Amino acid sequence: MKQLIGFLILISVMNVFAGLEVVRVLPNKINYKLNEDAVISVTVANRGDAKENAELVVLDKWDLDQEKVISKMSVELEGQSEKTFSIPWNTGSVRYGHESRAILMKDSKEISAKSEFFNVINEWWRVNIGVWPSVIGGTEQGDRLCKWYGLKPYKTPFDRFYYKSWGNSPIGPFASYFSNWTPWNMSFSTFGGFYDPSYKDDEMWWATAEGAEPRTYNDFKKETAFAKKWGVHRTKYLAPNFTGYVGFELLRKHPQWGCKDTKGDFNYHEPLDPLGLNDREKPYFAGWSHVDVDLSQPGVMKFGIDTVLDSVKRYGFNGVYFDGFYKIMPGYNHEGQYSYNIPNRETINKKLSKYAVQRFNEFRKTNPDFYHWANGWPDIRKRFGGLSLFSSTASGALWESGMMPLNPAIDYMNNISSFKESAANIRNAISDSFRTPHEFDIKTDILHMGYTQFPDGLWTVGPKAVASFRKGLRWQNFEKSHQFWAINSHMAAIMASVCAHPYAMQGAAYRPFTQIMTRYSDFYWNEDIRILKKAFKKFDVDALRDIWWEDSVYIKETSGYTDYYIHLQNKPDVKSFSFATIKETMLAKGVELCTRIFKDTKKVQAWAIQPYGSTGDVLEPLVSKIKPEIVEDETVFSIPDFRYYTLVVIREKK
Amino acid sequence: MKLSLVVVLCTFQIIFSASAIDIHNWGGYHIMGFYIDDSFVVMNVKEIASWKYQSDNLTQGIKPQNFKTWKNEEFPEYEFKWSASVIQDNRFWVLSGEGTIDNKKWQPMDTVITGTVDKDGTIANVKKVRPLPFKTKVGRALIYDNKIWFLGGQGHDELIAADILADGELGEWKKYKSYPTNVAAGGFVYYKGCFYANGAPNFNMRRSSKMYALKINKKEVGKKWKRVDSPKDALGYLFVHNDALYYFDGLSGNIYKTTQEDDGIQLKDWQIAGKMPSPPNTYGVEVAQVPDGWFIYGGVLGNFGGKFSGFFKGAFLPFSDLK
Repeated sequence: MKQLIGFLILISVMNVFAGLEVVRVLPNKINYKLNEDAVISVTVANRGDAKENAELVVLDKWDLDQEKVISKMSVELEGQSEKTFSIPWNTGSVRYGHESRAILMKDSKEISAKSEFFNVINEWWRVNIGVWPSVIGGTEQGDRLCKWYGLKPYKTPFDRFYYKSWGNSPIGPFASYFSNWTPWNMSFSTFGGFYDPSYKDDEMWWATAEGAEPRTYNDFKKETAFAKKWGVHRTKYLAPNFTGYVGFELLRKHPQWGCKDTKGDFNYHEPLDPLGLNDREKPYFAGWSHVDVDLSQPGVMKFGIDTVLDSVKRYGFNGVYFDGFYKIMPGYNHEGQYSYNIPNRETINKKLSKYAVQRFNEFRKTNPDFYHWANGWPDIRKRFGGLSLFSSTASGALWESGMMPLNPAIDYMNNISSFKESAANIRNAISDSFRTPHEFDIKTDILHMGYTQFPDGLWTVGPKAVASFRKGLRWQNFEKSHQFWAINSHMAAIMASVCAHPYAMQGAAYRPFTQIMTRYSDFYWNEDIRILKKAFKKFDVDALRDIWWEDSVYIKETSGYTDYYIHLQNKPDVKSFSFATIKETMLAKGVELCTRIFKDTKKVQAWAIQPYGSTGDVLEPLVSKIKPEIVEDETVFSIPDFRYYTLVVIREKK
Repeated sequence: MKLSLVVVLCTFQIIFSASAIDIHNWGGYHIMGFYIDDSFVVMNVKEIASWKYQSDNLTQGIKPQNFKTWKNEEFPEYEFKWSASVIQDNRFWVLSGEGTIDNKKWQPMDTVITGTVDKDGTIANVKKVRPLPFKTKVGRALIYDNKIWFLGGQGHDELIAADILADGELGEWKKYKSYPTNVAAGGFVYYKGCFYANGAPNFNMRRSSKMYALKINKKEVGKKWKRVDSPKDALGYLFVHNDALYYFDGLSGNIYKTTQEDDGIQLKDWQIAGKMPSPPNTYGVEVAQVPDGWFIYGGVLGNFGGKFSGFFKGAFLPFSDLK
């Protein structure tokens, strides 16, 4: 009987409020500058048959509980109709993550609400997220995303949210919250060559680097316009390799610029088809086929930097990403001398670095938004791991894990706990370098992490490979595992816990994390955040399961309060990253965070921020306020159950 | 890049494995050694050698006398390298390490070998006993409560223990609370009611000084490894001496010392107690506790991966040299 009454009450409530709902909220950019004029599109629908009205309130929210009303209006919709409202506002002066929340109110009650998340900051590199939009239409998670945004499920894979369908994404970069784009497939990045005016706009190019495919300037222009429209920043990709028609033309003019083999021929990297690659009429995908640049030759570095900075200016890039090694690499020069036998090799390497730094610093004087980053990270023995190009007032590093976590032969990457250790070590190294003066003068502690294929499973090989995936175990696992949700979530949790900037990873499971990192970027990437030393002496975590947390506790001091950010990771049920993992990790229940550091708990507030999961209807962060409790002489915070990750924010007022 | 690193590593391994057999000159890295009943025993790849222990001679760098060797002809697939070792009275056990499986060299092994060292230094009664439940290398072991406790090893986080039976035989391996991470290359000691361990998941991952402790007594084994204080950016071995815990950091060359907090598990801040006689960054330098101090030996001078400038020949460090 009670159940029946409850059901009837539910039905009656649903009837009252069945009509109006917020369908989607869409800011016009993922990344705004301070005090920028912006527009939020709020789509409202009336799903009932009768005309309905309500009050639409749009809030700008930031921090944990800060908000202001930016719009309040009456809305009235005919039955079975949809309407989109464009709401202008100014982004104001509060830096880092924001949320536009649209709420429909009826009789002072909230009947429907939705949010979208973005950043407001001038130093755009501090909120870089480079996760490509590979939430694929026609899959479980793609359709789920469609449903959340009020779009019809899309049954044709690869046509929506996919990285190759930029211009078609109806929700722009919010499919993965990417704000920085350095895709090599549009970069036309042979060393020293970017723009060749002899190419027609619709003529196919061979673009260098892995994953590159023949593209046209029209493709480039379209993608550029799309990125610009959505506030996505682009960094120019540069590899120290000659390839394709443009690259080989350069080598023809300057044969001394390319590394040679023992016979004096150009030292071609796979596949060995320089003539084919040099065929302008038939460009094709050819992997890492190139000739290394001999940077010991006078003028080569200057030429490379001249052309890359020219392309930055010419095409409105926001920075440069240096892939590879910008120093003298093994090989023979045009005089037959082995490069490592050059007596002043280290001096030349240092000069190359210093020259690049000097040029970037000069460039930044007239282009203050310029940012550059490179792969590699400081190492305990060689502070820069052999890579010299980190420096200047805006620079970052990329930890290029690539496919290594999926390779069981690379134990320290494949094992999830070891990978977590590696990530923390690298984070520590970056953090130390940030605060230790040295010849390269690193000024930022920005760690990008990721790179290339991590299991979405489908994207790695593109549309043509779908059929073969369908035949294999991987495709079955792709579906059964909610698109490899478990292993991707653990990978994303590791990245979040070391406050890395995810880059080029794929998979629907990254989205809840990049969403949190966008909304709460102030808790990940604020320049005043520091690693809390010896956190294990200040906090403790009690749980029936193993929880990883000791290396991921941070502190931020402000004039009004002290924030503690404690990243909790649920230890995986499996040891290794593997496509074979089907089951999701068991919930961590009854987790308690304890401390004795707070003298007056009345000054203490706490929140738990959690990513949404693989199922469920709401695709927004789960945020709960936690009441601190005093147990004996400890302050105890009870954490809501979680499967992969929770960010606990504890704020102590001063 | 990755491929070239592997090639370099393999090349080093080939060069050093070949030369490391010449243990008479203390050449090699990560060579096992321990003091046992007046003898100093060194194990390296295919040989076990023992000397009449004389710390004065070692201090002066003079080749010790009364040298005896045992050549491994019985277990040709097994190499005495990257292993863990423990001793009880005049018996030693060597656990896990490298070996050849299906003609592939340097594979992790589950082998456990025991033997005795006679008064005259003769290595005797060498035999295989119950193997580990998994194959690994670069693990570590200790004896507590008449059990051999084995922790981690490359690719592993397990804590397991087996009873010591008659003639060095071992009982069933039982599993206890796993270490929070995979853990290879580092220390593992019993100190004041706790196991303390340090080290990185991978022996090439050198920036990892993290330490955890597990409470233990003869009635029960703790359920939680607790993070405890450790020297920054260190990696090396742990020893207990004079009621204190020592950390020999092969990276900085520092020897750190600390004691336990009143809570019976946490450690006070580490203090520098002295310097290792080996230069900083001597890759694979080993430390063995001997009657009046420590013997530090082996290891590649000039930083692994850098310019090779020979092996560290070994030196005695008396207890009295430390603060």
